[in-house]
Amino acid sequence: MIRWFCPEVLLVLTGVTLILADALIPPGKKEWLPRLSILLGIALFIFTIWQSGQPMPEVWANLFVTDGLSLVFKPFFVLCLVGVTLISVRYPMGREEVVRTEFLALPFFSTAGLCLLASARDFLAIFVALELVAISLYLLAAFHRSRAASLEAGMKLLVMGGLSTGFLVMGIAWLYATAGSTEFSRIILEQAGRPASPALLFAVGLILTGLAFKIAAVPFHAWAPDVYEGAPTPITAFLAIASKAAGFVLLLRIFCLGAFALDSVGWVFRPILLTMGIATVTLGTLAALPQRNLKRYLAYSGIAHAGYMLLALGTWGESGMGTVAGYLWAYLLATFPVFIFVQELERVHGNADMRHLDGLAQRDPGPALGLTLCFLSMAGLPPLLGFSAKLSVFTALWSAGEIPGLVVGVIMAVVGLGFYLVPIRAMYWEREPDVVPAQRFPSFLVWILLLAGAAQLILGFQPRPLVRLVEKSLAPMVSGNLQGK
Amino acid sequence: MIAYAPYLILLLPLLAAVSIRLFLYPFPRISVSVSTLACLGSFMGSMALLFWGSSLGQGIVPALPWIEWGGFRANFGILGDPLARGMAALVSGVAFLVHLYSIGYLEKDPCRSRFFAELSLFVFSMLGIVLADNLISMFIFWELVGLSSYLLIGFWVERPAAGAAANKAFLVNRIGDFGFILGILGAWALFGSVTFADLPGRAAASSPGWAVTAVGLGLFCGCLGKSAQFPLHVWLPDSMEGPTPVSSLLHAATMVVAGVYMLVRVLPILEMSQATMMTIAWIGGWMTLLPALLACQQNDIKRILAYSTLSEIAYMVMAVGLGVAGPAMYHLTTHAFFKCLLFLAAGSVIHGCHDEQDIWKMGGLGKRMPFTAFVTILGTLALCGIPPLSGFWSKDAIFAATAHHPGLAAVSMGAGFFTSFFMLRMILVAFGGEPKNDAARHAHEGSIFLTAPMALLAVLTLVGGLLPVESYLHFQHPEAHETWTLWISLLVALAGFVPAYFLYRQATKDPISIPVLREKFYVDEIYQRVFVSPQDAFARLTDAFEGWVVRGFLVRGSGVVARASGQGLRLVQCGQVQIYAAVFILGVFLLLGWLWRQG
Amino acid sequence: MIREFVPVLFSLGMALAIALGGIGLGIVIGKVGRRNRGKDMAYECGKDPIGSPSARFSVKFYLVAMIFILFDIEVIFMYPWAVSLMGFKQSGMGWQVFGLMLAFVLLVEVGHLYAYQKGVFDWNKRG
Repeated sequence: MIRWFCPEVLLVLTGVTLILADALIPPGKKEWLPRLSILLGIALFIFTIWQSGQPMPEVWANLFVTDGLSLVFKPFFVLCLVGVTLISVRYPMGREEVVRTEFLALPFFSTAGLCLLASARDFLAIFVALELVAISLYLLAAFHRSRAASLEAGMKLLVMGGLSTGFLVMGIAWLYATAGSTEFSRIILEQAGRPASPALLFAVGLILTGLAFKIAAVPFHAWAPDVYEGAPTPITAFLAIASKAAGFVLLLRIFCLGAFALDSVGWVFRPILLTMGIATVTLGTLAALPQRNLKRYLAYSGIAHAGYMLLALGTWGESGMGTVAGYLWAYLLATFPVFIFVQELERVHGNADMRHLDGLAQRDPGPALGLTLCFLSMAGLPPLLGFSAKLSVFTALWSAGEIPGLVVGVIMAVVGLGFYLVPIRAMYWEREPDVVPAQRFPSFLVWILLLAGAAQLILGFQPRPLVRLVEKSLAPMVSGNLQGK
Repeated sequence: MIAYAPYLILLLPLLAAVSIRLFLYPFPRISVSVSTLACLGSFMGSMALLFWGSSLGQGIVPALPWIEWGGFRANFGILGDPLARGMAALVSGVAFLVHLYSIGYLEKDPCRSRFFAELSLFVFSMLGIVLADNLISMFIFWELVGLSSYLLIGFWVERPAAGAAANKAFLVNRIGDFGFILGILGAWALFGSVTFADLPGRAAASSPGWAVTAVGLGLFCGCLGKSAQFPLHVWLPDSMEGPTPVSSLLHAATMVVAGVYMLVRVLPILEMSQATMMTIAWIGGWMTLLPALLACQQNDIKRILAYSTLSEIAYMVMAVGLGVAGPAMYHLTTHAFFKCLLFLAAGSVIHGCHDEQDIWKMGGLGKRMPFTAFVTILGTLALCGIPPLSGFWSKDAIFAATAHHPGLAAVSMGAGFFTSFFMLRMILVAFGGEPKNDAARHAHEGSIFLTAPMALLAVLTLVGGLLPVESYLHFQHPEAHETWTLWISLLVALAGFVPAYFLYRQATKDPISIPVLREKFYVDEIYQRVFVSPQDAFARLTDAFEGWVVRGFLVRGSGVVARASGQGLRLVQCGQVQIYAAVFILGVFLLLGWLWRQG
Repeated sequence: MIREFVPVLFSLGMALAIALGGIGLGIVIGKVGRRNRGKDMAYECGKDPIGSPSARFSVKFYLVAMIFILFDIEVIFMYPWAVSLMGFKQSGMGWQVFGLMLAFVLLVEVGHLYAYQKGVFDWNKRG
């Protein structure tokens, strides 16, 4: 019986409850709904954590599987949801205030889709889950209707998302045509020991296109900066972290654990992933340099991070896989706090321009310190968490003998240091502007940022909890770890 | 219950430092009390551990795993052997007295919150060195101690000399630490462990050779820096620019002897190589004599004491080099008492004379500050090894160990002669005769906060020889040693008083002038010529390189590249979704084209 | 081969019969009413069939259309379900499969209820 109350079902039920409550309760009496959604989100997070201790693996009708990867990433997605809900409540909505509950309920549906993705082991299930995620996000990106930028973001996401979905479906169709099934285990049985046919490679290539869009890898990244800048900030965070992570979880599942963990397919796609990774790292890093808007800046930083993860993925080994899983968690812990800050910056200043950071350290030393630690962690400076993450990427590349990827990665990490120092420089070395808005940052922000900064430090010194997560994510098949050779 | 004492000991000062820095900064009175009480707590914890901790065995606190990388393993563990327990009690006890003294010494300083926060940080780091159970965590605390020393030397930020001295101390220590970390890595490479508990066994199991010598010398480098031995001794006299309580606690009683403590910890490695041991012994031997010579021509009361500190630490280093750790630690303990006392007395003099440090401008203080004069004489007698004061017992133990090394015996006993000479010189000039200026004429004793710690330390100096040190130092008073060392050293030390008495009884200016001693053997000048000037030239060269090549070409160049790529991107990133879709499709074609080539 | 297309022919005939029959019966039985330009126009979902393509009209139109399609498609799921329900009943899974469809209908009904409460079907409400 308990298996029916998996996170996905509970997430959908929560979303339905919120929507029904919004419809049935007369206006003026539902101020408690945002608070309820936060509480439900936290309860769900605790539930997924508890559930991740459950026995595994368990297969559901050959469509879904509960294994290490899904148990590690469901809490990840629900944690993103909690963060998004927390800041959605404070998002300045203007005229759209009346429909705030929808703004809070839709991420629940999207997260349900993400959790399904983490478990899916059949391309049909993947497709349905992916659409559940994507359609909710189209709506959410365009939610702030009275802002033209938000509408534009929603439209661009819809058009580009539709395009990529088209290629994905095409790929799945070709796959069905060649392998005779959409189910991972059947495809493996069908293809094992055979050289990959061109049709199969074609199918996998198209599927890779659809996923590369999700993670905003070059050359499928063009939508990211515009959409990130225009979408409401909580949704930007969701797109940048949860949606990107979902893409990587799928890549892990498809290329490393599931359908194409086959040498015949893998050896063809390995150089493609590495080349894509090199291009993504380079473009993300170089293009981030001249950015003056924090949200665009984070978009390019996210593209660069995706590049590092692609490089690790391209090494194909279990250390590369573990690195991706650990990197995603490190990325979440370093980036989400910055998005929380960005939204508060928008509340105070009206936009996320980087010049609002000038002299922040004098006004608010606490947030400035926390932000600095997060940015330095993203840059991969020891002894912060991001350093362990980058180091394991480079270790994986080194031991796989991928020297070009390693060289570009290291060079871009150094160049990246330059652009991560831009906001830090602004906060600590620039003079404060003469006119400072009267509105101050709320005190919770100070604590969240300081806590995040402390987390970067503590986990940097003691990455053991993360290593354990990573080991768990690979649990059913191997027992490698992040720090091992 | 007692098993938690190490946490209490270690974390209380850290807690005090952090809470002062974060919250209590604007309230000096509260900061001062918090810091002092934290130190008292540490002291009580250490005493409890010292008396009742013996039942807990070696590793009394479960070690937290910290780094595991391949075969490399380092823990955050706390060591609970008698040596660590005794040393922790000594450090926290002296630190507590210095805290008390600082309350009086800095009562008018508006920045004393900062001072006490830094002092608490120092106590935390020093206790960390003492309690660390492996070389890696010891190294971290070692660096923290270096940091707090830097902060405290430069406490008076408005004095340029203080800043320069702080820099010098920090940089010179870096050189030593570089050798130290090489030594640590070497130890790990050779023995596969950096834990003190494992080292004796692993070292005994491996074969001696040049590598072991190199490792031992590398570790000794750390000691050279921290304990200010030749050739890295130059920072210690300059560090006297810091407040006197700092000189007393860090640069006499605790921090500078950390090197000796570390050598005792790694003794099993050092003992494997006779060459290492002899290097250590001879550097120590000569370093007993040279600073004692220099001190004879110094005029600054604190610098005189600083040079005597160099000389005394050298005795300990020499003892380690001779393989007798017990006497080294014993002398470390008694030296902590009497040298701390001497510095506090010097601070009292400086405080009484309104920041006058030149002994030739004092004079006649014996009548105006009788208590200070009394404790100075007491400290001096202990320093010179006159029985029955504490210094006698520990120095005698070291001299006994030199019985079979006539060369070392000669230099170290010769040092005793000059020690007696310059100490009596200092006392006669500063405390005897007539006051040389108004400040000295109106000198007076300080408050109870100044005198009480001195009184306590005076008692310890007096009876330090009776402390049951044997129980925690694995050390027996030499029973049947050859008594000639005792008599000769005693005679030589007493002989040192004679010329000093006749030369300085009535002197108003120095009757002898030896430029080479006054200028400290020109070591600073040599360093200036040999290291600093070429380095400056190199720095100018690299600055030019930085300016022209890096900043001009690379940075501006990469800026141009970045801007150009930004411009290039602008062609693509134009905001039109049609173009985005076109790029997307292009990407798909690229990917499929690649597959076509492959398949 | 040809015989396989007989059903197609049959359904084509049915479609023609219904369309022509409706108009024909209307002419034969119905009373000739007053005619105007509007009534003579081809029926195109209530919209002017000839005119500017970028004319503005109420967004409600799309909302209603979308909700209609949603419920329309619901039937696509129900049809095969209804066909195979008896088979499931025989293998003892009848109630479970019935419950599944019930849950599905309930979910769709939530959407319906929400749309209703939000006033989507209230044509005169501005929004």
